[in-house]
Amino acid sequence: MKRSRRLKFAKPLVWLVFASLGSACAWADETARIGGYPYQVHGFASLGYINTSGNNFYGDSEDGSFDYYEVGLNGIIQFNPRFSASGQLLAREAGETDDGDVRVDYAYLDYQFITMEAARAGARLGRVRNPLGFYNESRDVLFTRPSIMLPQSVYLEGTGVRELLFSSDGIQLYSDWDHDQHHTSLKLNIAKSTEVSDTTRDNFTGGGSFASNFSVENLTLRDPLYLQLLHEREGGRLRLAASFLTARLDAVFGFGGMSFPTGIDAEIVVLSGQFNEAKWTLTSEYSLTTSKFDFAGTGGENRSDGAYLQGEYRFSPELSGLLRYDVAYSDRNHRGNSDSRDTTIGFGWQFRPSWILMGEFHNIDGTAGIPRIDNPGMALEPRTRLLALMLGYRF
Amino acid sequence: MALIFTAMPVHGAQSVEVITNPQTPSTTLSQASLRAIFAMRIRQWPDGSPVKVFVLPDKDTSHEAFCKEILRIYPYVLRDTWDRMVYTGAGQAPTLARTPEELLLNVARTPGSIGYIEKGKVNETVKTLEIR
Repeated sequence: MKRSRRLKFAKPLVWLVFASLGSACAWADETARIGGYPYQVHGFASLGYINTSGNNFYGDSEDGSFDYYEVGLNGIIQFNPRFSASGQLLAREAGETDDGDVRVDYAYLDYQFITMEAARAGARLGRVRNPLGFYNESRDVLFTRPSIMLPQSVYLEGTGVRELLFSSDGIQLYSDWDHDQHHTSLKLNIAKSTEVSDTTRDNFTGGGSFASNFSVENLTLRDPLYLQLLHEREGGRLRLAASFLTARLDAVFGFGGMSFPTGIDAEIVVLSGQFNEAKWTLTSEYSLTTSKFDFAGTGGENRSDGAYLQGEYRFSPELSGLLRYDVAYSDRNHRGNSDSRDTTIGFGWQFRPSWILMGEFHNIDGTAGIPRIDNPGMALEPRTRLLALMLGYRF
Repeated sequence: MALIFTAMPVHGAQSVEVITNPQTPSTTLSQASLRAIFAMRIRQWPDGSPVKVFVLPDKDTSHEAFCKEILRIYPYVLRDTWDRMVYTGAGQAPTLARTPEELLLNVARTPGSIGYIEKGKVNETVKTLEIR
């Protein structure tokens, strides 16, 4: 299952050249029109380098790895102030956890049926991004996240769950209100059930790094529903959000020639808060996951949770530093022996408006966020040190 | 459409003016509505015509003054709002004018346009908006 590495560098470089060409029409000329309708095209590309000790993270990172990039290209066309269509293609490679294949990240029609000066409401139909916490909706765009790796406690980097959170095929109902100095928005995603990709399934199962006669088939995400309420005070100086996700994950476990249907009913609640000041930003989010599982006639319940506290300091508009403490518990009833902790220190340097260089060091105790699939056939080490650098471009 | 907000008046000496195309129907805007327009949430004027937002580069002193004095939002918070919109497909980014002169010219000739400019550079080709 190890893929060829010959083209590892070629792909992102091609995309970078392509993105540079795109910058010729950067920030979309105000006269750009298709069939008389204004449109915009934007894109991004970022290439990462990861070096770890302890465990691999996104590729053979113990030897230093460039197996980490993300590229995207999006477009939006505005038919009239109420009606638009938009879509984004995305390719992401992250060691063995993501394969670099181009996928449709989102593609939807957006109609606003209420367009008042102080309030709006509408519906988006198609493949829509899922709101969860502050960063999930645009998590693959380096410019929109605070660090190269998002905190594990809420964003589940490195595990199979990550991909399930991206987007939904269905409908998003949304509304937002302006009131004095404040702004409130509500989003509800109702999605159809989908079979989970092989890549995601392999992330879940460790890609065969467990017993060879064990298999997981027909992994299906059923009836996902996302809800997010976001309240921003005084022009975003204080931002508060509550996000909720409920879904069922069904699968058939095969073991020694026998098969067992199994399912997990999962609920995730994320509470988010952020202070934005001129020089600094303070962010904290808490996530609680409740999983009720049934397996071959038996059942049980697990509750996992976690939180992080993150400070960002802007030395100048271009240069910022980050400190974060992140802790996740895979069983909140047994916090003492189920915890993973990640202390992160990092920087972001936006040396041109369209370019950013980010770097960070993680000291990770615990294995909750370590991609098992990048460490085949090995028992995971309890401690990982991770250095990541990432160069990002956007237009 | 009535302006339903009694937003706080903007105090103090301002170094920038909010300008629109002369044909734009509005002559006054609440601060909340102005912020919603520049956050790319309001896409049409009260008469239904499309809003066209022009901005200067993030580091331009007039942009910083506009954000601080009139919008009362940190420039990086506004930039984050645009980025989230652009990379989730929820809306268009504002159109960047590289210089105040380019911005003035674009607002003067683009129906439905809105922007801002240093006070001394306002001329008769555009209309200034009162922000309440």
